[in-house]
Amino acid sequence: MISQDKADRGGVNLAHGLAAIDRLSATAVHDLQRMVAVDTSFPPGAATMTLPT
Amino acid sequence: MHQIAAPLALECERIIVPEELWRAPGACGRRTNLIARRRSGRPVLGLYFHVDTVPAAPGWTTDPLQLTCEGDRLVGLGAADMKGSIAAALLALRAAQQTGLSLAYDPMLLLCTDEEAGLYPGVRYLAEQGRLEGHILNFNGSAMPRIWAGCFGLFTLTVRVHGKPAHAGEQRSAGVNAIEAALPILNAVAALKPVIAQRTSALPPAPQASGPLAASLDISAIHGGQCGGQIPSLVELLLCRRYAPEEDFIGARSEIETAIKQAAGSLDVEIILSGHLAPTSDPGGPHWPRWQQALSLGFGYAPDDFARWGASGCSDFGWVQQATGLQEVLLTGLGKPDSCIHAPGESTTLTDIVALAKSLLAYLSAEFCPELSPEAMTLKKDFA
Repeated sequence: MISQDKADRGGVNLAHGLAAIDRLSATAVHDLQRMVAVDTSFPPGAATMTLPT
Repeated sequence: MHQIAAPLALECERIIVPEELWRAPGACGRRTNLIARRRSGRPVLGLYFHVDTVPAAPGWTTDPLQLTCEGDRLVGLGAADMKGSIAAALLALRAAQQTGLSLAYDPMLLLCTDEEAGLYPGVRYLAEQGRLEGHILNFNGSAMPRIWAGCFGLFTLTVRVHGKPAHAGEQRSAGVNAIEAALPILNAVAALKPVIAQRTSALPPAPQASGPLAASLDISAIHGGQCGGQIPSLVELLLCRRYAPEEDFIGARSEIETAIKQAAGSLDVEIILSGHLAPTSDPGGPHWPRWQQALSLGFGYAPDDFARWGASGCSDFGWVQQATGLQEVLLTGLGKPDSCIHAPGESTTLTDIVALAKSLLAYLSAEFCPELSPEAMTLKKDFA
């Protein structure tokens, strides 16, 4: 459902895009999972030294 | 990152910062920056992210490298600062792609190295190489209704105090204990701390702050010694100095180095500049009103919610301003008071990621508030 308010503020096409964000939100969690899993800490490797045991 | 960006049909280019620029104590590994962009001839909107994080501090109760979902909350190292922002931007671009939304700007993702520490941030190198285009939306900020007023600079000094190794029993008189020798230096730094903390800035503080923004000096790390049977021959200190835009970097650095040298006497001491972010001066400009409207759409902020404030936290955009001469930088992100950024349990929420994605999609959209777009208004004038 595209709200009239959103359509008024940006247009119908933008409202469809905003609705698509809601539909696709699970992909953001998946992307974040993949990124967090890669240790990019500085100094490198420090994160793996502090993993809970 | 390349694998994540590829399905969005973005043109990707890796740019490596030469090692001679970033070489410093503790730094190793390639500094590979990724530019992922779409070219259609529209004005360019740079979307800046840093991909590095601080190390996980002791105290995490979950694996910091495994995203943990606790209802809406997403917990993991870098979730708020700032991998969650990258996920939000990718979500916005995915939605634009799926719906065929007409964009006002060509997005240019800048996925950069060495913001959290290091001598030469990746975005500084890109700026100096002339690789930045258009205006830039920096995602290394907060999810608050904030108009960025600029921020402090920061530098780190690695101080190496050399002693002489020896057996801690029979031959102890032949050794020089580096840790004990470093104590006068630590005391000198500790004495300098309150002096520096009295230097305040005219930058406006956050609305909830208890006082003005102030300079600071911290002893951030100490490493030395190995076992009880050995006189330690080396101790390494890491000092972190945050300086106000009104201060002078050379003077601030010299003040600390002088105090250390006076305290060290005849000791063998090395002082190495191991990190530096220049202050960011007022990043206001003509794109801010439309960005505020976009934030209002995404997060539901009212116009009166917005306030302008600076920070003693630092950014690599001071270097960008210096290299490009461009002052305006839009700022956003996922940081909130309960995000535990740089601390155990760092988190964001899916709600905020979605809100940030919606803000970005609105800002990118050609349909959204064209009357506030400097580029659209320029075109209109040209055709008038």
